[in-house]
Amino acid sequence: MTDALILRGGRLVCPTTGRDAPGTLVLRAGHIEAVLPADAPAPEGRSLDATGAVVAPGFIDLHCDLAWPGHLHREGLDSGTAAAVRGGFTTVCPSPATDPALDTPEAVAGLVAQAAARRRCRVRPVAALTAGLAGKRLTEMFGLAAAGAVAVGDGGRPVADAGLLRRALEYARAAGLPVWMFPEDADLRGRGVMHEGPVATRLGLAGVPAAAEHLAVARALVLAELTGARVHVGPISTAGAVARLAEARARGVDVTAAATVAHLHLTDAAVAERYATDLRVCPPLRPQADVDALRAGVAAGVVQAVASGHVPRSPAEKAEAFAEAAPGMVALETTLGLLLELVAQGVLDLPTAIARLTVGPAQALGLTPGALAPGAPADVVVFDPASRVRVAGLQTRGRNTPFLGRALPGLVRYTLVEGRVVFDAEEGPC
Amino acid sequence: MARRHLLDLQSLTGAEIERLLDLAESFEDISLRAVKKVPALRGRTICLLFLEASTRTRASFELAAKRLSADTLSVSGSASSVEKGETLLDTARNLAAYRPDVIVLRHKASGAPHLLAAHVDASIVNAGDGAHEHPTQGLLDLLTIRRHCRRIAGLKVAIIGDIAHSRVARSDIAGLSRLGAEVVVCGPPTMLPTGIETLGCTATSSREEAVADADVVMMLRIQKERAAEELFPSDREYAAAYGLDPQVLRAAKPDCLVMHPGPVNRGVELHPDVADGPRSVILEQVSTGLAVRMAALYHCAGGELPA
Repeated sequence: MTDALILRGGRLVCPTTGRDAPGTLVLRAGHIEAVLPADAPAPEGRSLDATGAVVAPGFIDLHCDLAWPGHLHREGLDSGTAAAVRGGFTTVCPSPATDPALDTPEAVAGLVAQAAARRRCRVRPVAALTAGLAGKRLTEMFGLAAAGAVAVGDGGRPVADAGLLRRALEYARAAGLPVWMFPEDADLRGRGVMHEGPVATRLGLAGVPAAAEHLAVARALVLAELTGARVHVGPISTAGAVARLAEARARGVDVTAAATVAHLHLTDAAVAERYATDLRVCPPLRPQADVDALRAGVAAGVVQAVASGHVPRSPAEKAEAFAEAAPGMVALETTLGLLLELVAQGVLDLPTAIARLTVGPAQALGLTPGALAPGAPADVVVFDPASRVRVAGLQTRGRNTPFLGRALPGLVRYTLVEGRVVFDAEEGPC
Repeated sequence: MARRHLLDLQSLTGAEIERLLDLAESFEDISLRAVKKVPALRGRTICLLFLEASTRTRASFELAAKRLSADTLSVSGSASSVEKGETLLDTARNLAAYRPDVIVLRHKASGAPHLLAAHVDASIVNAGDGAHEHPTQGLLDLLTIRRHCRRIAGLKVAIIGDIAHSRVARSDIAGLSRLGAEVVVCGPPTMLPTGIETLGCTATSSREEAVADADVVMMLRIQKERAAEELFPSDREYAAAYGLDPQVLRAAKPDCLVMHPGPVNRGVELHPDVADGPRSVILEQVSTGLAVRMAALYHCAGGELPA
């Protein structure tokens, strides 16, 4: 019998079971063996101190780019998974927009095996919906699923041909995979590089109208209804998208959605500050009214998942004029802190915030959500919910974030995957 | 010491703009002398970094630098290492290693001069960045108007053309509104960007409304390749709906100035009789531009502004 690992002194917050109380977790053989009241005598074994911390099921990230294979100047599996566990993520679902794209069972299996060798978080990729993400030919979705893909998606390059997209959705349904759709109409976007509005006009930058997202979300909803496929849209950024999703939900169309922490915190007005290229992201940052609607959507559950939207870029890719800089922001290590910032502001409560990183993403993936309950996998995060620490010492290779140096709550003390400590604030990633 | 830049007119106050205009005016007579050169910037180095095609602006800056006795170093798009994959910052930092006092930058991307100003140790003069601004063009337009109308406050200025893609329009709107003019921008809706009013103007798609009682009509050059992007269907339709001909001009004030940043598409945005007519000050804009660029270089290279 393997030794137990005891997590004591923490506040156990589990959106799956509804538990929010002090307690002790007993982990053994990769699973949660017992959940004990705080005053109960704990069994013998190695213990980790969670005093003053929140203990929650491990987080799942639906939208991140690990840039592997193909873009080692941006990130690698080592740095990417280290950043993930430092951010409290125990499962990440990296984008298929790699080089080459994750469009074959072999490519997916290769990534899964390479990631498993790091023994940090679970890496369960979103594979490509079409070969080369070119929007012309379906991928081998049964094979992709067998190789370890948990979804198929457009990798940020929406399929233009609605007829092909319909077939892809139907086929994905048979293969048992949900479909990730990036909600942006490419024609309405045109050459846009930031939100279309007065700020873009003043800066002389081509705009992406909010309507580009509205149209794409409407299209995704129509096709989800037509095909019965499980569809997930994200990241979304507009009030119009939230309204359309809420309206569809009311009619019983169950499309899931995610927003990134950047879009919950930053507005297009920030770009006016010296054309800061770290603020060039896809979809673009929107005005305050959209940010407010997105926050309300996340609080109400119309938007089930909050994602990092982690996209690492090399310094050279950002050392260009705004329109020529590569879009993206690193975020795996700031997602929890920025979400807890919303808790501090009263936008949502702590259990709901945790649900958006656990139950919500699991729902989008069609997986059983993690839980602090006997028998559940011991994927657990322990974090300090209140005290603020400056963002520094990033594990990701990217430095493209405007939040460096910002004092944020949510310092992760421990991250455990299958009962193993894969991140320890004192010692770093394993 | 903090470097002095000229990045855009949006971030300048009316008083700062007036001082630059006064400085430019004081340089005007140099070009009328037999010996057209003063030692104001002798020993200074000015780098002309033109990473987008330009003939007129570049010639104007080069001559301005020479009239002030500065040494110039020219790097153009075709000769630059930008096309070899070097980043803009790499290129600029390499040039900065020669310790130029001023880098004059023309670039196709909005905000490129701001990037240099933040990261390169030299004064940056924006010679046109994407669809953002062309501040020396804005200043020369202001100076031309001030000379003819003896004031700017209270004038009605119509700017007609592709406002969405025009850096000249943004600099003109910013400068004119700072100095109290009433600015009306005009074009088909495909050429009017969202929220342009926040820059300090009103917008209309009626040419007649824009021209009515105008003191100045500024026509922008139509880039014919925009037809391919469906901004307008054809030259002849554009000329008929948004061009300036003698008939349309009758609705303006009798002494209305006609301006154009050049080069003119005669018969498209401007009828030849208007382009070459008595109200046109288009060539004067060019000569005024030289004085304005001398002022911009002198100001940024460390020369003091007259109080």
